[in-house]
Amino acid sequence: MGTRGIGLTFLLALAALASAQQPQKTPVKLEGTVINSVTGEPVPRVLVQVMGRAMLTGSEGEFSFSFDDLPTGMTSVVQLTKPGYFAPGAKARFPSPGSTSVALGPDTGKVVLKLAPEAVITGRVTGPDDEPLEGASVQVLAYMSVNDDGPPRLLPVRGARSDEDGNFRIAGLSAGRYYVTVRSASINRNLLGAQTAETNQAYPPLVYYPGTQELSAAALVDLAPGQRLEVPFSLSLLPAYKVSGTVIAVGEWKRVNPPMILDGAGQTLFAANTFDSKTGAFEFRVMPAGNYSVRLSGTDPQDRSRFFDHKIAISKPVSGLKLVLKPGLDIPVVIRADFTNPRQEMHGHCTSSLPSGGVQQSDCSDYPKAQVELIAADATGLRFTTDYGPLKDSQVFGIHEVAPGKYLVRARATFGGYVQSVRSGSVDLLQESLAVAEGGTVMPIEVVLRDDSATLKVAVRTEKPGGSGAIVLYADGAPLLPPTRWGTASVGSYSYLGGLAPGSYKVFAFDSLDGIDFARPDSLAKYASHAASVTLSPNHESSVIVDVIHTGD
Amino acid sequence: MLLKTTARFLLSLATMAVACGTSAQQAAPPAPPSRDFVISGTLVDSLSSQPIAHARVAIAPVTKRNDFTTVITGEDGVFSFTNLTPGKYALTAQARGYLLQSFNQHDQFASSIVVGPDSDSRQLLFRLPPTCAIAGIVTDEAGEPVRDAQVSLYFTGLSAGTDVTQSRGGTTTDDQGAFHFGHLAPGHYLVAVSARPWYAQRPLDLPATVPGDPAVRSYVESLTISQSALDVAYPVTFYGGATDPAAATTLTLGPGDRVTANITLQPVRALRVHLSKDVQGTRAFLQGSILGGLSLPVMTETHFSGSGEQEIVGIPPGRYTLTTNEVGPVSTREIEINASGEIDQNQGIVYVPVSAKLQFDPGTKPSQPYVQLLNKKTRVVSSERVGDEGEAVFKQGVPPGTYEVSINNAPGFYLKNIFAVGARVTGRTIEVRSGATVKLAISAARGQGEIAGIASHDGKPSAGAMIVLVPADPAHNQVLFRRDQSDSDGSFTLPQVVPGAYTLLALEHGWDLAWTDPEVLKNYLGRGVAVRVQPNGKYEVKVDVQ
Repeated sequence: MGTRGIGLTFLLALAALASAQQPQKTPVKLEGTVINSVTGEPVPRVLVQVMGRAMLTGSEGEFSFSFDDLPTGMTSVVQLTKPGYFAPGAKARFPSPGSTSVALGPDTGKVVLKLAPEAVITGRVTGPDDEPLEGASVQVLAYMSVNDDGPPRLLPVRGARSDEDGNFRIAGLSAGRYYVTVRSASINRNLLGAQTAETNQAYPPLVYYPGTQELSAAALVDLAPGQRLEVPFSLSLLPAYKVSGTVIAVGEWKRVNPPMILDGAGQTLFAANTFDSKTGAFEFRVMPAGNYSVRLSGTDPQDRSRFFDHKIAISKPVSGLKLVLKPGLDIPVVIRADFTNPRQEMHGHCTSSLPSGGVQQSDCSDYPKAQVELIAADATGLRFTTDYGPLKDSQVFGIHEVAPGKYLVRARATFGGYVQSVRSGSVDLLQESLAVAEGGTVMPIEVVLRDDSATLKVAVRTEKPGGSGAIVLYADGAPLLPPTRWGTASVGSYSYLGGLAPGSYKVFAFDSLDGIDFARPDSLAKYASHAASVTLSPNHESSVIVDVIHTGD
Repeated sequence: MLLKTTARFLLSLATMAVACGTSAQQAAPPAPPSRDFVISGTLVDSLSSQPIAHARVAIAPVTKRNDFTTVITGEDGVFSFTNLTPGKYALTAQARGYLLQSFNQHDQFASSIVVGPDSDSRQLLFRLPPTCAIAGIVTDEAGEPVRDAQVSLYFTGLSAGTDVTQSRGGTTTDDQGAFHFGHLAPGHYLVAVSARPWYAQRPLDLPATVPGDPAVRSYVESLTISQSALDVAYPVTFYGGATDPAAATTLTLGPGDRVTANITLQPVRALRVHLSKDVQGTRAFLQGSILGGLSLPVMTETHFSGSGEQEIVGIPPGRYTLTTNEVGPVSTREIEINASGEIDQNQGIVYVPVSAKLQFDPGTKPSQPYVQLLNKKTRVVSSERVGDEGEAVFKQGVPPGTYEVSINNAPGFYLKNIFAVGARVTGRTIEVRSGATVKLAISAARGQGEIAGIASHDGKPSAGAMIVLVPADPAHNQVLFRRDQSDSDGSFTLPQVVPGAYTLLALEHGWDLAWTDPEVLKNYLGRGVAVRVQPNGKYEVKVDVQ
């Protein structure tokens, strides 16, 4: 909830602005009401913040500000906050207070601002014979773009524990699509004198609504603002077995960790009950029947964390299970810099710390000219990158110990130029993902850099008040990676985007990026008709004018 | 935890008679010895006397308390264990909606069942008290629910012979402002709510460095004025609406009671304090302090000015502990904050630094002993681990007061002697004064004693009585008390007794007494048995039940 006082810097900037303009003698007013975006009813007691002022609306959602000494025609951001409400359009992220841009001036009539009500999920967790289960951990998960690059990750948004009657309630959810899960590890099952027969049964560790252990069969619940949804869970006891074996670590490892069971999103469910790091012997005392992903992990002599996943199916007691932990694949990376422009010698200044302590300084010519990152194509958020730091002759430059899987590849020029192509063998990694198979080989990744980059001059245009747009660039030639954001341009001024690879692009300008999920490839598709298309040529500056897209409409 | 004693057939019959008025069975002589030794009976709700179905009832020999045999009761609440080897068994029951209890349990003591040719352990009446619950809704001054408020629960009343107020945990309100505490034992409780108004604004103080242009300055001032109106806080509010713990309404819960406790919060102007140079630390940490030493969450914020000065804002008026740490020592003080302003070195009650050096008798040392200080007034125990060199430092210090010193987690050892610099010592009690620095030298010796015996009444063994070993000078040596509950054959054991002079008492209704209070004790001491315990001494005593 945005309740921090406005920063002093902001206040000073405002003050400087105020005193720099010619002050109007008539006070500028901003009046309006806040309504519920679903019902249209006024929302009482909303915190309205504008231009450093704050007030609570009345019982009819009405507010009124009067500013002396403020120029007219200014636009300002109005921030609305109220527990249980969000900005309309905030989708399945950690929701933020609502904010809109409003022009201040004698022509601004009473404004009507909207807030979307939260959705609430309630339910009951029961066991066999409708016995209420207390202490079950219920979580609501959503796909969220975390770094705005790479595929969205499946992460918990909110959670609650079931009470003595098995009931739970999760509020504070913005509109969106969610999975609802129950984890049974925390269920209060303190059974006095439990017999062996009873401890040979357990609830499944993770159940997705409507009652499956597999993510692929789980229901994505679509919540609308203000919706109340009932989500019951009826858990059955499964036969549980003792699973024991040894972790066999191939190669050099500084430390090997106990095996862990993961859920479909790569989160840990539970670890082995016992693990001997010297012999690798492990035991899961009570593992319910089912299919699992077991993660073996450890630290290599270079202090890097590495892991290896195995799939196992449990339907009876298992002993002597051998799980192999081996380092992943090393993928060499070859960088070719086809620089044609006359360039000055690199006068960069790079500093790196030495393992022996102390620092090493250089002009950066011994640093790799590009950085390559592999981003897991599924929702686990795994990444592998090329090493930083100066290149050592003896060492092969590349990405080390990559776990098997499918990856999106992102290459970035680090000291000038742009990435023209990224290939592995015959695979164009700007268009396709990289498949790393267990025990297979991967052709070295070849990155070609060029320095005949293009520049794009962008102007934004809009009819509505609030004259600025956040610029988003979508490269037609690189569909795999999410579109890039280039800051905000104001009406009346230009933004210069440099170092771009020549090619064709779609340019978007949005009034607000809140409702857009960048990690989804189709997130921009519906706005495509409002984008400007432009083709950039090497060593050339192009211009484009883009209409601001108002996402609230 | 001691779980001991037994119930005799007569005792259980007597209980049945009390519950039902008349009993179908008369006080019959014990049943003829049978080859099949059995523990059986009925599990009932202690309030309604109705049988409890689907409950787990378990027995375990007292010599192997993890060796359970469990049955599940049917609709008639009946449990039965057959083919038992003679001996003493602990009998325990667990059911949804009831406290987990052992048979005839008082505090942490209970009655074990004696199984053998001379006792009848059938048709026991096992009464289980239903749990209690406290639930409520927290609303604000406009009647809207307060979400994410911290609700704290306190138990107040007699516990182990002393009147105490103890924390029983806390929870957070949900979107409807609702909270719930379940699985509670009957007793008296207090509920306190700590919350921050969601709309509160904490305007920055105008530093002197804002440009002196009066137009600019007045403009910036006009902005902070609007925020100041919202610079409010909620004082810690108890059920009943009081913000002063002394005036808080107590909730009294009987077995099975489910009580509603709604609380409304009213905002007050928030206070802000800044720390003077001599109190500055790398970190200042404010906690609510109520009822003499119980801490409570408070939701304040800390601002740092450009010069590194620290200001704590959003403070409702009240009593707090403020901890600041320089790079080295930690300083904690209790202060009353009723106005905004500066906190300097002289304000509040500064905690007194205490360190102790522990010396053990030559021989094996315990691996992880602790030194404990029990505050006689607030009953708060401060505990500090003893390092390998025998040093224990109470890093935050302790509030001035009277403390009983003891050592913990050192089986077989007892505190023999204390010498103190900076505090006055009476036996094992030290008086810590404001402004002092206390250094304790503690010597610990091996050789705790043991007392066993029989409690009887009118010449007959008495079961279920509270046995209490009272030290000489009970007011200053509370940690030396020992207790037990007598078995069906009147027997009891008191292990781990610190050598010294004692009076042994057997009290029939001792469980409801404030038996740590010397005023209460003096009525009984005259008829007790004097025992002088030497190191490693073992004693057999006979005592009359009063």
